[in-house]
Amino acid sequence: MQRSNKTNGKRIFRTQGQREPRPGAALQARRWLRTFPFRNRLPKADRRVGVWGNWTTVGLAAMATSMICGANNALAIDYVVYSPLVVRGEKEVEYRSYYNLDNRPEINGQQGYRLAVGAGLTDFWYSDIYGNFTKGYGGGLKAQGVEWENRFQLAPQGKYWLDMGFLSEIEYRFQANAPYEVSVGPLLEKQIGRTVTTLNLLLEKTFGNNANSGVEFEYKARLRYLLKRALSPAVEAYGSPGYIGRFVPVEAQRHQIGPALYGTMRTGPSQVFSYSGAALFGLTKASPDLTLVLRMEYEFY
Amino acid sequence: MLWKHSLRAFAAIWALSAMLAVADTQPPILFKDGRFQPDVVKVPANTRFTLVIKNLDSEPSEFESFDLNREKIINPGKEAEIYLGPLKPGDYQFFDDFHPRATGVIRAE
Repeated sequence: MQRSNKTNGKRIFRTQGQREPRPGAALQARRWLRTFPFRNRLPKADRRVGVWGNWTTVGLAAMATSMICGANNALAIDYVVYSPLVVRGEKEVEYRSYYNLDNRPEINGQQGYRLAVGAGLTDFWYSDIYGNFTKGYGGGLKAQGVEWENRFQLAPQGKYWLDMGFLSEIEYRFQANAPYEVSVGPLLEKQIGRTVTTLNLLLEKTFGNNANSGVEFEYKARLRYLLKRALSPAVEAYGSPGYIGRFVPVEAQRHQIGPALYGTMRTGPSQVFSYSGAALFGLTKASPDLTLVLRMEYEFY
Repeated sequence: MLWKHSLRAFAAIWALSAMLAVADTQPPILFKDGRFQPDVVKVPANTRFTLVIKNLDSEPSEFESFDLNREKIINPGKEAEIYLGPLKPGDYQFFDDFHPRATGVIRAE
């Protein structure tokens, strides 16, 4: 028997001559991400994954516990990247959903749904009301809460080098003694030719009963190529390293990236139907292996 | 402290963007009798410019372009400024979802 200590700090025994399987790109990326922020700050002897294994376990356990208990908002992840642009007079009915696929039963099958109505109230202000529904481990679909979201466009599109907006949203959760959650942050967009890059940097804070101390940071990003109105390819990324000032180890952070498709179809005078979908792959242990996202909007004026 | 840093960073980005603001306004496009006039608009390539759309009709009009990633509603009797460019030489379609006959092309050359 030959002992190999190469995989994640676990000892794996192989027979003589048996080769280790070659790690795939995703696994290599995970290993690299796991050690990156700490690699150059630690004594050489401590630059091994095992040192962080305990912290990773603690982080994952906390996340899994909170997911199972429904004590935090982990299921209510909003898989959408907001543009800072607002169209006055536009009204919409919107549906968004995600579905997690994972080997872990507590994550596999998690679902989230959002139904919204919204309107562009002025040239710079768009307002939405959401109803949020989630399905977690061992439970049925539950109404999670309602959310009021406001987006503000800070300057006419294209006037400055960067298009900027601001998002603010407040969520009231139906769960007894659940805190309110407030999210704010800039929405940034830059178009170069037919490529549009959008970045949302959000700070989330809970208030009221059982509120967490600290401000959670979340990012959302999209790179979209304007190919055709009916179908445009994109890449989307979502993640959260945790609370500002006390980010959890990388393996316990949520980071997801994957391809997406966007399209719009005219359904009548002053009416359009927009649709988009994404397949997001988890880059860390705390992220679901795969999240499927579907979004649909009916817009009218 | 964090909020102060965030606000400063945001203000710095804003100021930088403001320094790179657009100028160079093109002759206006009129929306009249359910159509854009002219429907072929020649603009300089590789330059930032401003289009002015005037709605002379009695109902709202829309200037929309997937090629240019722009969408703007213009009320009757009002005008809107559309900031564009720099564009590579070529044709860029625009249309009005409210009025299917209203289409046009921005020709960068």
